[in-house]
Formats: sequence, C-alpha cells, structure tokens
Amino acid sequence: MRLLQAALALLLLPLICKSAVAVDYAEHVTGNGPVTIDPTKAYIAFRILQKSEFRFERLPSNEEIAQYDQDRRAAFDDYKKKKPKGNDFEFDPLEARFSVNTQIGKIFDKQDGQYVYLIAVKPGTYVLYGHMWQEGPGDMDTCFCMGTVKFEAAAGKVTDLGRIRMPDDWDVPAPPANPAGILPFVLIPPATPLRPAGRLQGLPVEPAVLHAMDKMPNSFGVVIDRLFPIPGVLAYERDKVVDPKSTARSR
Amino acid sequence: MTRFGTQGRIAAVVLLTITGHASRAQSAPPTPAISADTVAVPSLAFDEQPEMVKAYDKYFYYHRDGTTFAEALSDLQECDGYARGLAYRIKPDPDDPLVKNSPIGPVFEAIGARWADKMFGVPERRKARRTNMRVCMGYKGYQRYGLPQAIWQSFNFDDAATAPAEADRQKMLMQQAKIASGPRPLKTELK
Repeated sequence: MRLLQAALALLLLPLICKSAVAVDYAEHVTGNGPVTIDPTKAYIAFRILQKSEFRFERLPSNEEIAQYDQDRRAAFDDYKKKKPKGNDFEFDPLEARFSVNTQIGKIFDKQDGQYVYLIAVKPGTYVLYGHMWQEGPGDMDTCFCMGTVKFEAAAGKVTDLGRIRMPDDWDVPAPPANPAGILPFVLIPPATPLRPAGRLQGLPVEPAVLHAMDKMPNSFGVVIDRLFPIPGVLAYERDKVVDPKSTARSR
Repeated sequence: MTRFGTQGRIAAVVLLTITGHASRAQSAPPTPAISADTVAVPSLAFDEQPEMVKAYDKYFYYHRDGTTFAEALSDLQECDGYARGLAYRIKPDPDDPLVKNSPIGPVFEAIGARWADKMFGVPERRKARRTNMRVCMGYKGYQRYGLPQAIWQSFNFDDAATAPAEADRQKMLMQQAKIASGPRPLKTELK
C-alpha cells in the first residue's frame, strides 16, 4: 500500500515544496586574484575538509530585537484581519533575520587539503549557529543549540575561526558520539601565532577570540546538538554550558 | 557531506524532499506547581520478550538518580521545547509553475504533498524528535530504560503526525517526570 501511495505521488504530482525558512546567503570572497578588504566590513574565515554550508548568526541589538517584535506584531495584526479565526500564522524566527548562510560552492582557497571559506559580514558579535543549508532543513541540518561559541568580527579584519571538523571527516580522530549516537561537530581553533597561508597572506588576519555561547532555542526546528568542548573556551557540566574564562554557567 | 533534499520534481520525491515552514519551536507554557502525588502513572512491570527488545530504540523512558519531580519536569519541558515544532514538513508550493498554470494543479499538488508528508515527512519528524529528546535528556544525565510499545504509548506521545493538545502533552510530561524521578529501575539501562 505504501509503495502504491509513493508511486501515485510520484506520477501524479510535482512535489515542489515550499521552501523552509531561508536566510540570506553570506557575501563570499572568491576568485583568484588579490583580495581587497573593505574597511567597513568584517570578514570571517574558516576551513572544512568537505565542502558544506554553515550558518552564522549576528547577535542583534536590543533595538533590532524591538524592531523585530514590532514587525511580527504588525504581521500578526494583518493576518488576523484577513483570517480572524485562523490559527496558522507564520513568521520567520528572530534568528533568520540576523543569520547568514555560507554557500557550498563559494570557495576562497584550498590549503593543506582543506577548503577555506571567507565571508564578508556586518561587523558584530557572531555565533557559529549550526551546520545548516540555506534552504533547509534537510536531514543533515544541525543546530548547535545546546552549546557553541561566539566571537567578535571587527570591521576591516579577517577573523580566523580555524577548522570545523565534520562528523564524517576522516583525517583526524573522531570525538565520542553524543547521547543519540551521533558524532558531534568539533571546532579546532587556529594555531597561534597565526601564519596565514595562501590567499590569506598579507591580509589583516587575527585568530577569533572565542567565548562559550549559552543554549539557544531550536528556532528553525532541526536536529540539535552542541559543539564538542574546546579547552579553555567551551566546557559543559551535564547540559550546562561553562565558560572556563569566567565562572558563568548557563541555566 | 552532501545536502539532502532538492527542489527538483521527481528528484524531490526520490530524495525525500523535506523542507519546512517558518515555524519557531515553541516552548511549553509554564506549569503551575504540582505535586507528584497527584500524577498517576502506569505500572512499568512487564515480562520482557525478544521482540520488545528489538524496539527499545523507539520505546523507552528516562530516569536519573537523585532527581526531584520538579527538576525532571523542567528538564522534560525544556527538551520537549527542542523537539517540538520540527520543520521537516512537505507542503505544496504555490509558486510552482504547474500549480500556477493548471486549473487542477493546486488540487494535485495539495493531495500529493499530503501523501508525501505522511510517507516521508512524518517518519522524519518522528526520528528527529526522538533524536532531539535523546540528545537533550542524555546531556542532562538521564539514562534510558526499554519498554514494550503498549506501556510506552500510555504515557508518551508522538507528535509527528498530529500534535497532542497542550494539556494532554503536559499531562504526559508530568507522568514521564514522575517516572524519571522515581525509584531506580531494576532493569539494565540502554546504551
């Protein structure tokens, strides 16, 4: 019966599905030539062994949050005027407004077998939000909702995050699996002092100053996890995020 | 690691196109203080059979030593917040040219999306919910203990197809919390 249903769906119907919450793609630096740094923009560099997409969220200011709330209320009021008895109001989550997704094909450089991505963003404090596709969710989307890092991305600078080890990378040992038996993502900060190589040479590159980021809501409705602990940066006491640089504990 | 899913037509079906809607995972409303004594739970005693063991990856309960009912309820509500409102949902796309250009396109699109969601979206949401609960409760230090499906269904819910009414959801979370904070199970925990 299930096979018949699948066949019918396949034959009768185009399954173009409405996109999920799509966030903006980041502005990528690509090409082969010299890199010009815009002094008004911040730049984030990271490395991965396998091409993929990641999401970065800029932490909004109180004013930006207030504006979001106002926009949401206005949209809800409009919805109620059109559908007074409706109960399917939808509005993109706050995080969508302030997040950017990297794009799998927009490679900046390749160094030591790893793909280097370089994105230009609005200066601010950024969170490594998750391994997420721009038009997700797919079954590979993971929000680092239960623990990740944040860092400043300053104007006119390239902030080097280091390498993001993905669960199925083969070149470095895998960490222990999470409670669901899934291997976590690992952020490996760059070795210091930095020695920018390849196209990063000559650019104002600085290592990211990483801080533990407290738990976040699963606003995009995907699979959750947390980054593997980073010595001196990110630790956990059961589910509580611990910042070794302070005595701060999440709730 | 390649992306799962696409906006293509047949490929979307074959590759289990699972896209979502603009849904924010909802947090449970605060629950007024309640005594565990007022929460009735089923007996967890059963005669273990091999076929039950095979399904322990789906049917289990949580327990953690030295936990109060209030702590367990708070933990379960937090984890339920991570695991509800999941976005793996197949819906018709009003911008699809076939829908726009054909008078019967919208009907077929709606029917097909509903079938596809039932066949592919529901199992995916169920799996994702289970994963998120295991991740969250596991990080909190809870262990899992297997149950036969019938007992599990008496105090657990599956919101992949249809979400339970909020009052029913909270009632079952309270039952789970009472069990999670109760006497240590005699059976061996699941790995």
